[in-house]
Amino acid sequence: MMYKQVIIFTLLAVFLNPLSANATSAGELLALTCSSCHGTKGVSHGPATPSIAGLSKNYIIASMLSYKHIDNLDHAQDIVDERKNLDDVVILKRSATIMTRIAKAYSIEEIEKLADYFSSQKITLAVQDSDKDQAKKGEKLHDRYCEKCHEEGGIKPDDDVGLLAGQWQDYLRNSMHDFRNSDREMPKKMRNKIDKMVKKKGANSIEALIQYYASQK
Amino acid sequence: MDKIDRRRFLKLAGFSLASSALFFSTKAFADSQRIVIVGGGIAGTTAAIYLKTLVPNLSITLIEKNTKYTAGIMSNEVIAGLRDISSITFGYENLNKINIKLINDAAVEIDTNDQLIHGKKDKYKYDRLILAPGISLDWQSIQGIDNAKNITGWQRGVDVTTLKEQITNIKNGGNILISIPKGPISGPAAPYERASLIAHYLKSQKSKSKLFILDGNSPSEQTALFKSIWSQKYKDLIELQTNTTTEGVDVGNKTIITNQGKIKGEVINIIPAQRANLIAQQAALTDKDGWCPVDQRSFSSTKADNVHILGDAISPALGLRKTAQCANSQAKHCALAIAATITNNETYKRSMPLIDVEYSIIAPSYAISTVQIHKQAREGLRYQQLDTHVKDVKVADKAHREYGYAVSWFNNITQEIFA
Repeated sequence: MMYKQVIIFTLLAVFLNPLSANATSAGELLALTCSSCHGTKGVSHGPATPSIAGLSKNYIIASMLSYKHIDNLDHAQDIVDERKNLDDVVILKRSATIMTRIAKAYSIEEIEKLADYFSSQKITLAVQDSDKDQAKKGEKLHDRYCEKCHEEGGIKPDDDVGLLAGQWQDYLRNSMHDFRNSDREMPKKMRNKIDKMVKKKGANSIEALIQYYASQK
Repeated sequence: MDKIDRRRFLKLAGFSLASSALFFSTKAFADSQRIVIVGGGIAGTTAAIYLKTLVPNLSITLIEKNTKYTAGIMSNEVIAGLRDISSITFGYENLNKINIKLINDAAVEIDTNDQLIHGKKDKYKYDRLILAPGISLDWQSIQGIDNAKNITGWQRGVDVTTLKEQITNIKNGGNILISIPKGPISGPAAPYERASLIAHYLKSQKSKSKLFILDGNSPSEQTALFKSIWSQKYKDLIELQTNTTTEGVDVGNKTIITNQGKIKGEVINIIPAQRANLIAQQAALTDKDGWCPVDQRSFSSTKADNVHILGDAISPALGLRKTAQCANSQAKHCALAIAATITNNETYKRSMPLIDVEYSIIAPSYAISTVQIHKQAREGLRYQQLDTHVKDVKVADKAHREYGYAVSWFNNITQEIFA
């Protein structure tokens, strides 16, 4: 009888603990800070701040480190090179109005945890207006010049590439502006493709691409 | 019963006793963990939502006197006629969906000994109180003011739309006076943002009018920043007088009396000095300056047990600004601290940076931002500030981007807690 009571009490104690905490990772807790600008779980309501849910881990780490060490990108590259699990991360220059200030708050360990969390969140495409004719032109341009790296219409943000499909168009426009102005460094392959496209199809082709990505729902 | 069995039995019984004690105490603990939140602004609503997210089976009640939330964020766009007030008004319907109990009542008194809140309609017992009451305006510092008639634009709703009407109705050539009190206010850059957006309106509609800012504070990094922008965008439209304290007002003659002399204006917008909301003052939760001292990690009051205080009401001694973003960040830190205590979950004990961003809109498609990053100092109550840079404000292209980010921030922070 004693045994029975013992077992019942034990079971009760284990299963009826009324104040159980939700299972949360360190990255998820750190990410709470990001949601007021980038949206809950990294899904932005726009119009200019990008969604970061579902971006690749390497992409997030590279971006955060280039913001943090904007004055010394070599140092940022050293940081990832020293880490075995991050040694394929390539630091390229990125400019920002606000993230260069905010990224300074985080250590590399915290940045990695944030990257783990956001890269495992579901991509949600932004609902926004777009120009149909431009989007049609953009689709052809994409297939020809971008698809090789930005696979499946830009919806697969693997490795080093960002999310293009369903990303907020103000953000895409700002990014392309920075790339073209050398405020943001393009990978060599991208620079060649963009140069070729603009030479052949004119500067307006960039806006057509943006409308194509914005049109994906 | 042989030896081994007995030993095993005793061990099991001991464990069981501990567990059943744990069971009863946790059950009692759950019953003794009625969380009541007073104030459904950014701080209170954020705390409610994240505490519920972290500890889903916790009983949380939010007491708020208004049925809808009208944001202070973007209210200057309403005053300048750039935005309708409906676009900054939000309902609380989302709270019911996640089992947060919303009570429409005005808290009038808090008894921190009996842990009891007296509302206009009912009384509410709490085991842990999160007080996010905002500020009270200190009318006594200004002689001759009729607080019922003075339009501050600091009290949301009608106060904001009335100021908008006054600005719209001003005759071309009539002057506007904005008086800023000495000391901390809710929205530290908000009067400067307001001046900028009104100047934008005057520039296109009432170019003979002029706006005077009577600022009780000494010149600062902030005033220098805005002055440099105004000299480009609103030359001769805004005149800033620092160290100018409003002492009284002559309502009949539409005149403000300052320590520097008298000044006349067709529209007078006096923002009075501020303190923690009266309810916190009356519950003896404030210090001699009228603000609430709190612990920097959990935001628990240093004046009463089981009380946490968030947002604009907390003491400036912590080094945190009274902004919406800071209130939102504080609430998340507080929710984590409470969750750590009541669930005994170590993961929640981690420290994370507290990030505060304040956007100021200067004109449509033109905004600036200031960022403060705080990390807890090893000792003492003060947050340690790491970075407060203001960059690139002179580049129109960046200011255009900052406007996009300001609007995005407004959309995301309001969706985060009101959707």
